[in-house]
Amino acid sequence: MNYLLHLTIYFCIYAILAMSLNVMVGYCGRLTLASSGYFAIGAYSYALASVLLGWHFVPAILLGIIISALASLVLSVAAWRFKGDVFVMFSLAVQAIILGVCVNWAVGSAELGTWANLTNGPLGISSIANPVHTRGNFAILALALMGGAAVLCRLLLASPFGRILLAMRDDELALRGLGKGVKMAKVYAFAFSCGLAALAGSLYAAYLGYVNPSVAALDFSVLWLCMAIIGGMGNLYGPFAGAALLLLLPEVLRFAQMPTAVADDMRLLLYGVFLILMTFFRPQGICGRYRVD
Amino acid sequence: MRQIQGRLTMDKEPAFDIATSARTRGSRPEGAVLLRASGLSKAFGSQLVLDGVDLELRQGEVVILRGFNGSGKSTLLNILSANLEPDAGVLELGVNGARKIFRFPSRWWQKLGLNNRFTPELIFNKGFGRTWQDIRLFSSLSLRDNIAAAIPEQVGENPWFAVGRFSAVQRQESTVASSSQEELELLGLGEEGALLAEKLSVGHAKCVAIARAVRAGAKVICLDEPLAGVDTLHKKKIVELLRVLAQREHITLVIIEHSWNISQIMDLATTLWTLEGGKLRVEQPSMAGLPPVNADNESDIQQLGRTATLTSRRVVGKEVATPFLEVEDLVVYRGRRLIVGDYQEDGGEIKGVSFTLRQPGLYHLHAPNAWGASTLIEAIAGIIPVARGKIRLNGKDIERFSPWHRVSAGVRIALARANGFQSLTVREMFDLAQVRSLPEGFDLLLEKQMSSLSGGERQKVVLWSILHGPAFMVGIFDEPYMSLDVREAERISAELGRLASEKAILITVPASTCSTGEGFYEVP
Repeated sequence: MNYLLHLTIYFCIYAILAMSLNVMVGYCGRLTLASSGYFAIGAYSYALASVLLGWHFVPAILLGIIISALASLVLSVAAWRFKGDVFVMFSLAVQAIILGVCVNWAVGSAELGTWANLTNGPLGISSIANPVHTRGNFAILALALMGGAAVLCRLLLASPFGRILLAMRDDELALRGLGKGVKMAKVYAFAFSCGLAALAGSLYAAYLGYVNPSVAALDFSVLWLCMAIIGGMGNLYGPFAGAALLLLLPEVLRFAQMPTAVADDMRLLLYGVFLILMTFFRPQGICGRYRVD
Repeated sequence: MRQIQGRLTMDKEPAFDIATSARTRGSRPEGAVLLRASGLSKAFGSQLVLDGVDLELRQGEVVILRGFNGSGKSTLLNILSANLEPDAGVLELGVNGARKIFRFPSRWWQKLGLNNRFTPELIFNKGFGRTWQDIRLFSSLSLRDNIAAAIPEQVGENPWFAVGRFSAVQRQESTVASSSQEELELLGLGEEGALLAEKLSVGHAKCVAIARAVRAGAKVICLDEPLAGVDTLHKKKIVELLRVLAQREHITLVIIEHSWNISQIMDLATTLWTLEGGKLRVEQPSMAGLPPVNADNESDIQQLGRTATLTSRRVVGKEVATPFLEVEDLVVYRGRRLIVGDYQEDGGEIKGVSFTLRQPGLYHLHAPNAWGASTLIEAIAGIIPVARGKIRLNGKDIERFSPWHRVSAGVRIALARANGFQSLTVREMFDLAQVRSLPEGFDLLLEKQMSSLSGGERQKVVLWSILHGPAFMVGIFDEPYMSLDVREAERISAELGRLASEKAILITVPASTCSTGEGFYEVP
């Protein structure tokens, strides 16, 4: 039972991340590699707020979302000008900077929480407060947050705002030529997307009670991007399909009773094979309509 | 919300109002000045495209903007719609009484674009809309959403309201959906509302693009080649739509069009702008200097499916022509959609397309939009797989040949929308195509990148690459004249005519569904 609950919680975290990527990649047409960075912003904000300030779950999560949404301005202002390869490179730079901050904002033996040490460096931050005491309750909390995020996605993306995003993705110049400004649409959409990534990050930190700089690693960005692409972009169901697949694939290996080290490599191999198969046979993803170029 | 008045149906003859036409044609309306430009200049590198252009656009005018390939028509249109900033000049807009003046060159802080100065959205909100040569519908949206996205002042476009004022947004959405549907019905596309825009034929897509600009609230619409690549039936429909916009809706129009299409919209025009040598000449509209409409004089007609015909012109002195390219019972799908071939009415087996090109011979394929001429050509080129049928070149089956194998067997194909390699220079394009003698008129273009050329110039390079490259036996040209000016089209046409005395040449042209009777405006 514990195992199922654990899977449920991870499913919720992955699904929120996939929704976040769906907004930025599927609806805005900007391929990003910075998602792990914004995930880390959420995770670290939550950790610091709960460990140092003793904040409760909800305000701590909100803090992460707000910081992440503000930090998304870096990406959205870049997206006013850039798209395609240039934007991907830009997002890679953002991810590298955030990872660098997580690893390096800790000078010598300075105490955590001072300006000299905000992240505790490679050691990370531990003893993060868990808002609920049992795994079952946490699963319910995660499900509720995921449900809330899904409802918000539905409201935003199935509205005229979502239509503007899709039109912008298809042909930005033509949309502007119809009198629709796109700058603010990008700012809002990116803030929403990065806010969702931070929500997932906060949940992750709260669940594990521990966070270190590896959460901001590029591997995660790539992995989550694969998940979102395999699930299918530009619609509301793809993220769930992608999250379920990403979660279940390693579990199948576990039941095949493979040694952990081998299973880890096998998992990556399977993702790779799966991605290649998808590009050949279903480039728009399991539930998608939109092909990521 | 305004709507396009008057139903436009496929089978109805355009209601041509001679009285209105006589009144408007030849006399410039004395409406308020909507746009005044003085000294507009624009250079690309060392080439000066616009050299101090002065112009004035009045309410109710219908302007036809013409000029040779590369004369700067699209550049001027791009400036008027703020897609491009001029190097110098003053632009003064005055729709709805509010005046706005732009002076160029802009200062450095204005170039940062932080204060929304000279942007397409700002220009549109001053009433200036446009359509594009390559249409640019939102390809993954349905037709209904394409129009809905353009409708102004929607509450739900603000994400805070989309969530916070959900019921108000829903109410507005149902109005938006029904008025978009209404618009499509006026265009005769009522049943296609859920169709994705990428699946629409060119003729229909151009109608939707115009309707989209109107729905978005444009008072002035600049149209970039609205009739290019459109078959006769849809041309009539678009001309009728433009007539409704100009005469009943009093929308001011600026239309870029090539000379052989101009004859069809000349009766609408009140003013003629001609761009030559970077200068703009303002004239009264007249048919002088336009190519006459030729009657077809083909000798042999082959019927392809229900609506397309293949006509060939007899080559004098070469009475014995041998079959060179034979296509037999060809059926081609794109995904699950049947493109080449006809379903039988009794539900029987699909009937494939068959025809023969003899050598020497000049053939014209007259096919309506969406008939699948481009797909047929891609199938002959080996770019997309065929589901059934035979393609024989000089008696040899080639349907299993790879595309390059077909080329070395003597087939040359110019696709309509694949205009060369964008990042190569013209010289590199010619080298790649093994062009031995450089044709005249390319001196200035040789060192330019393909991507920096105008649509017509790119087309020119591609056609000359084929015509002056290594020898071939069968040349197939998909709408070769589409974006060429008369001078260039005549040159290409003469070249093709000359080649046809030795080789088999097939040219596709957008045609009317009433086969050979009318509508083929051939360059003499």
